[in-house]
Amino acid sequence: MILYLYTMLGINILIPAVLFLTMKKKRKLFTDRYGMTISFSASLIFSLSLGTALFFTLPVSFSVLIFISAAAGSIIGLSYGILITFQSLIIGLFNGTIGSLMGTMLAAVIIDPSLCGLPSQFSTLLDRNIILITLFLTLLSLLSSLLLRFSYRV
Amino acid sequence: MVSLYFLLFYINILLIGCVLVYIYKLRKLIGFQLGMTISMVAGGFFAFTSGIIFIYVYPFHFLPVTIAATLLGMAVGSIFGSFFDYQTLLSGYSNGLMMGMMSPMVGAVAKNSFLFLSFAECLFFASLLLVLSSARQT
Repeated sequence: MILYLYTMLGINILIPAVLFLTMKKKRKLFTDRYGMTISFSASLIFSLSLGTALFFTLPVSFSVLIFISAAAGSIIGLSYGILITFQSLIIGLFNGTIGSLMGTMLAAVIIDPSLCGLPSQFSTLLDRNIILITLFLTLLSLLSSLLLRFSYRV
Repeated sequence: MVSLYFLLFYINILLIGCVLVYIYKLRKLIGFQLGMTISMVAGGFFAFTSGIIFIYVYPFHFLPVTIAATLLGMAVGSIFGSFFDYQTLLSGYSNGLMMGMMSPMVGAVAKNSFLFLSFAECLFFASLLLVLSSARQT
């Protein structure tokens, strides 16, 4: 279980880094509007997935953890936005912070459903739920990284 | 009560299908700026209402409801965006994903209140009317 979670965290860090390195070589080809779309969607999805994986993995208290995940999301947004113009930098910063806060909230509700007033589940279902949500978000970020990677050909 | 929720969901699907056909006929006249906004609004609000309806019907299954609402929002946003451009597809996809991820949490906090569901439905109808009128004026 712990090994699986750390593997997922590593994959979630690896996917934005690989996409960033491939985008960095071709940044002279981008127009203004294309850069805005890229920084919007990439920072949103990757920081959502990273925030969820960080909440399950790190054994620290909630206030420290939300600070760490917000900082990670804003770093993702800044590094995608800084490729193009200042406008896309602001959009990337905003969307990265929003996405990581949303991911932290989603993970907190998955661990303890009585936060939202839902009936709380048994502890055997908890591991299955954690595995399923992490797998789903990682597959989603992989799919969107493929979409973004092949987007500038069209 | 459950049949009423499913009736509302069916009406939502019918309405979004009608708007889809209408936008598809006018897609040559709409520019990319309006197309991006249309795909974001339609996908986001459809994911919002369908997530609230699903969590009202199945309150014990939080995770499958979240996954279903996310996939629905992604699909509707991508279909609306694919009429215009690749970049409108990307923005509709990401916004539908975000709203679908958020909506079961909002619906769970509301605790089966019918007033909140009717408010969300009014919001959905108003946004569809805005989309239709903005598409007609161009």
